[in-house]
Order: sequence, then structure tokens, then C-alpha cells
Amino acid sequence: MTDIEYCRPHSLAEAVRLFRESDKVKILAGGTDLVVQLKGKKIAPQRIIDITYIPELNELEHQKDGSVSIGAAVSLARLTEDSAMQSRFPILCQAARTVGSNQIRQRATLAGNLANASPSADTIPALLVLEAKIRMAGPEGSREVAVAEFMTGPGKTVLQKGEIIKEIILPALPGGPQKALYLKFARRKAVDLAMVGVALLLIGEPDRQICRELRIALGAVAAVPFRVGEAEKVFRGQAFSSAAVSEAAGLAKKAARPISDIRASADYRLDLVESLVKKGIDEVWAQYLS
Amino acid sequence: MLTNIKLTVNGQKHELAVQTDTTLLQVLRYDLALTGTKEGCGEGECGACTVLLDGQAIDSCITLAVQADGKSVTTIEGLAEGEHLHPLQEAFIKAGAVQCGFCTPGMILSAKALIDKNPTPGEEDIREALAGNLCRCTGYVKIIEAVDEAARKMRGDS
Repeated sequence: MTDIEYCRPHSLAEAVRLFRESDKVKILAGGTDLVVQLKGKKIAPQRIIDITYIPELNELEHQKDGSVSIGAAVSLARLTEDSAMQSRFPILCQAARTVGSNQIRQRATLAGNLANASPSADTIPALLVLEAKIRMAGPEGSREVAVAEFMTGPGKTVLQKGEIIKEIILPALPGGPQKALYLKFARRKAVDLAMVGVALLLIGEPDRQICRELRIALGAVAAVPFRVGEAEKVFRGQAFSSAAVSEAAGLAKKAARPISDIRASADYRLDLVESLVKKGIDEVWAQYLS
Repeated sequence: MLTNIKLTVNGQKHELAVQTDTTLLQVLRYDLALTGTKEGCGEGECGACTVLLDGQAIDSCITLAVQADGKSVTTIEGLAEGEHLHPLQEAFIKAGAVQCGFCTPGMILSAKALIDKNPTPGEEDIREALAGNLCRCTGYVKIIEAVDEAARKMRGDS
């Protein structure tokens, strides 16, 4: 049995200090990634810092301006069960509900899903279309990055030595009628990684004829989940048409860079991107019109 | 490093010193001799190790014991009152939802967490709540029937 130090700071400043002090340190929130890695001997920390006793990291705060801040220790279950989250940011709730199982979601955190930085993370495509911001605390103070810049590669993020995620901010969505959707294609209905993840956010004009903006993000088909700018351009200020849907889906397929792995081949994933983007846009438009 | 933790298990208070990487499952089975909770996969995928932590279903094999400090744990042993079985236990037996029985403790506790939160679960609710509990024997049909029946009994519908 390895001898690991367990720390339980009660303030963010203390956590940052403890994190910075040592080299082989890991942050513990829910532990649904960490403990698996620990048991599988993928990591060998000398110190584990439990951040769940820091009051501000447990806050889920809906602000008057329509934004919400989600503390690093807030569980996916708590997030998905929050009625204000369900009505204001349903796509994040929808995406979070596809993670693992109820047992996992009771412990797992949104911050952890980000920090673990899996290319197939389900919450990241949703956070991308919501244009979330990640606030971090470190020895140099706090800083904020857009979620699009947070993850830099499989298992890699912009977190520097001693930096931990403090909270995730979802800015208020622009006004106007809108619908959002997260589609996860996986072998099983639960407890599985996405083979392809598609997040869509449609913001329309009040007349429900013209699309102001259609944000499209893909997960599990590149080293980092990403927004497909080229495909989004097709719909900006346009009315719905099947031609536009096919064009956007084709551009999404072109932009994807999937690998072949145990879950699917790259070719299959490319085909899935095209058909899921098409299916997703059709569905989100239909919901938006109804 | 040893950390002293206090946890309540099935209503009984315990105080132990645990290593940082000791899991809650290990504490339950080895320190407390509560072997009703099983280890299936050891990595949080099969749900055989499911227990309730402050009323919520979790995978105890990937929960560190230190994370349960100050909290209340319910294992399968905590459901019956003496010889009196819990409605979920009775429903599982009556429906034929138990074959080898290995998944059963976890299934029942996931079901309990569901019904305690939602007394009128529909089939989709049951399926979603139990999605983290795998069964190799039954094909799930009888299990879902059992949970549905137990929910009815617990809310006084049958």
C-alpha cells in the first residue's frame, strides 16, 4: 500500500498553497476519475487534496444577469437536478445526464470532467456552445479562460502548476427563442464513452423563420472538442433548408479528425458526425418551431 | 498516512483510522464485516458495490473511505428490520428478480435511492436509476417489475 498524504483544506488559498508545495499532488473532488486512475496505478500521487470542504467551491449561484457560476465541487447530479439549470441551460443538464450512471453523477463534478480533459468528455461540447468561462485560482492569483481555450490535448489543460479550477461560469444566453440539444452516440445507453458527441444551440429571430445563430460543437472526434465555425456560418442569418443542413453536416465531417479505437473506426466516426449533425439540426429546428 | 474518520453505517456509529487510498468498499467488507456489498469490477462501472451515502447511491469501490467521513452509509444489511424484510427485498423475491444474487444488493439500493426521491417512478425513471447496475443473469425484466411493485407498496398503492 502506498503512503499518500490526505489534505482537507477549508479555503481556496490553503488548497492552492498545498497544491503548489509538492510535485506529485492530485486534486480530489468526486474522485470518479482520480480513484479509478489511482487503483489502476496510472497515477502515483504523494498527496491528495480534497477540495470538497471549501465552501465557495460548493456554490451553484444563479446571478440576476442570467449567468450562473458552478463551483468546482458541485456534483453533476446536483447540477442536473437544479430546476433553474434545467430551465435556463437545459443542454448542460442533458449532456451531464449522459455521463456514466447515477452513482457516478452523485460524486463526479463538472470541473472534474473538464480537468480530466478526455477528448470524449460529454459536458465539454455543451460548455462550448454555451461559451462557458473557466475561472482558476493559483499562486499568481486568479484568471479566467474561455472553455474553447481550456483543453489543449487529451488529458491536457492550460492549468499551470498550483492552479485549480475554482468555478465554471455560464454567461447569460442572448435573448430570443432558442433550442439546444446534445446527442451522444455510444454503444450503450449509459456507462459508456461517446463515439461521437454533438452539441447544438439554435438561437432564432422572433419570427421563428430566420436563424440568428446555430452553434455546433463536436466531441470525441478530435484531440479536443471543438466548435465547427465553417458549419455555423452556413446558418447565420439564414432560414432553414435541407440544403443548408446537408452543407453544414458535410462541413462538420470535413472538420472532424477522429481516431480509430476500441469503440469505433475513424471512418465510422466520420460518417456518424455527418448523420448526427444532420439529425441534430433537423431535431433542434423542429423543436424550435413547435 | 492514516486519517481518523467517523461514519455512521446502518445507524451505527464507527470510528476508524484509514489509509488515504482505502476505499469505502474495503472498510465496509473488511473492517466492518458487512459483506453484503460486493466487488464486481472495482472501477465504478458495474454497480455491485453500490451503497447509499447520505441517501444517494454511489459506487463504494471508487469512493475513498476518507470521503465518507462524517457521513451516513446504508448497506443492504441496513434495510431489513430484524426478520422483517424491506418492501424492495420482498418485491425482488416475489418477482423472481434474484438469480445468482450478486448484483442484487446494489440493485436494491439504487432502487431505494430512486423511490426515496421519486415515489412514483415510471419505467424510464427506473431504467435510468438502475443504468449503473449490471446483471448477467436475469435480463433485467423482473428487476424492473420488482422495483415498480415495491414503489407501489411503499406509497401504499397495492
